[in-house]
Amino acid sequence: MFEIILIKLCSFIDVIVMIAGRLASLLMPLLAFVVAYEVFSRYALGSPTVWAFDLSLFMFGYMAALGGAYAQQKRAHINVDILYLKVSHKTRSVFNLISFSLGIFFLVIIIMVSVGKYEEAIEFDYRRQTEWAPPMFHFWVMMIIAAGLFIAQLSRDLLNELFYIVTSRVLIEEENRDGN
Amino acid sequence: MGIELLTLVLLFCILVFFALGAPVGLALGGIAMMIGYMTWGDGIYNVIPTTLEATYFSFILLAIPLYIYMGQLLTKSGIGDAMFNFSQMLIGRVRGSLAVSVIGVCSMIGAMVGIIGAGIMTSGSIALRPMLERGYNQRLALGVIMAGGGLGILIPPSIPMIMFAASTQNSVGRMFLGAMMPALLTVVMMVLYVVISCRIYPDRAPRDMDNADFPTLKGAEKFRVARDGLFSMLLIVVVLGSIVTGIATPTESGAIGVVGAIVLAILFKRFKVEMFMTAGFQTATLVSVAMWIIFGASVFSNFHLLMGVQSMVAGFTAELDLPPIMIIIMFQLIMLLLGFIIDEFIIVLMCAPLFTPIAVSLGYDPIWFGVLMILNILIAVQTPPYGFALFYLKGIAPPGIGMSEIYKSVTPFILLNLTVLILCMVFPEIVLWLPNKVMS
Repeated sequence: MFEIILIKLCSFIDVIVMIAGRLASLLMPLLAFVVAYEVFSRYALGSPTVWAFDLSLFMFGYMAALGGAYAQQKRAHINVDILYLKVSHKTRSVFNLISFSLGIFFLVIIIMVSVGKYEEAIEFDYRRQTEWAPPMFHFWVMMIIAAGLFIAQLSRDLLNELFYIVTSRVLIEEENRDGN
Repeated sequence: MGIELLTLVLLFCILVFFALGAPVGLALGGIAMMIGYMTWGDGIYNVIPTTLEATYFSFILLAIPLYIYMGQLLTKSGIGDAMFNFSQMLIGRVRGSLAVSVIGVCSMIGAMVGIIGAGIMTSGSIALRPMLERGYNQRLALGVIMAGGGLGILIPPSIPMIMFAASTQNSVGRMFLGAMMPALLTVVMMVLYVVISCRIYPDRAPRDMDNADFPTLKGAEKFRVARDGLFSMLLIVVVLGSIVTGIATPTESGAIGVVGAIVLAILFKRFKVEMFMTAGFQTATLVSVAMWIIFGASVFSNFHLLMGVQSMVAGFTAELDLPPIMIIIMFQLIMLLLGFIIDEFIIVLMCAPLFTPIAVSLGYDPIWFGVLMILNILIAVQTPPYGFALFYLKGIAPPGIGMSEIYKSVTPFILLNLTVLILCMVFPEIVLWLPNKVMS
């Protein structure tokens, strides 16, 4: 019973993180289009846009931050694996336990400071210091979500490692994770 | 805690967490915040928002997704085959021509992809099999793939160069131009090596034209191959040209490159909406990975700089009382050693903000130092036993090829790279001549 709840929970996190990652990746073609349009507008239409600069930076930030959790799901984040690949499965689980905990610690701090920055941005109506001057608050909301998703994914992985250490059984068979 | 002790503690933590196989970006950020909290209190958390804004709102770093996207699109667009066929048409009569083509084409592909791993994977998947099938010496075949693919970070546009420019406030355009001559020099030396060694040891490479499947092209086909090949090269010229002439910023020329890649894919009749989306998806993952590392590493180095590591390193180098060039050599040795175990991004992000100001204060040009840094990384990542590019090469090599065979295959090319590094160090004009001429 307990195991089924765990599996359900993990699969749920997997799906949410995957959807977020896929949605974030849709920004890539749009981002290229916005930057290319700026060049086109400057030379072909004779007037640069006021919005392309900030919009492209926001899209970049959203895509890069929100994709972090999904990259973790795919085990695409770069690590030094000289020792990591040589040790036994169980030792590796212990390794992951330690390093994922550090990661969660870092991400929690990111959420804490992002909440602070969000409140500030709302209170003082912070905007980008550009002609278009779009508001900043949504960026901090996005950072909270991105870090939250990342924490969820790391916690899910942590749970799996713990389960393996305790029971010597794999909770969820990992699909082929090759970083793509 | 004094800065010396703090630095030791930080390095120790890095060593431990890297050995545990922790995701690098999270580990660097986490270590900085953990140690920072213990020594400084929670005021240290303020490093995070400033770093977040500096990394995610950097128009220079915005070039990264655009170049990676261009590279992903190009590798799927059939441009590799087009350039390969074209160069075979031109030099097919030379002994070892396939290996020479690999260096030329792979360095172009690598250049556009801008990351070592992707460069080697792409080059290898296009060119390794044809070489082995035609009876090329295995070592030579593997060696040229590594050499050509690895050149990707030295030939602009290159992601580590963008990172260097962003983290040291230098011009990306100047950096790209500075790397042009060393890159050209490397390619020429490698081509000469292949041609000459195939002359001396004819058994290393058959004459491709004696081979039964050597394509003999008729007029119209020749024209089509030439057109496709020239268009492919035109794209690189447009991307770099738009930066050099000032028509577009490096970031914008990345977007121009994306549009160009789509046009080429349509021209080569490879364009599919699905391919377009898959490339976007893969790019997004790579960009996330890169940006979380950049962010984590920047949190780390900002914290470390805040604690005064800069003056420690400066004091240390002053105390050593070495001639300036010795200090540069020392920095390079450190980067080489780091490159044996960690990835190109992280070396740039950790070493550039620390070493570059000192190199500048010693009277050296930051662009020159940056190019040396890139050359060091290029050498380090393919140096046995742990240079990580070796494992990419192993990944694409046919089964049955052992690591020792891989080591032997890359050695001559590493020596060539080393020669270029020394030449650039002794004659800084190789690096600085072009940017000074074009952008002064």
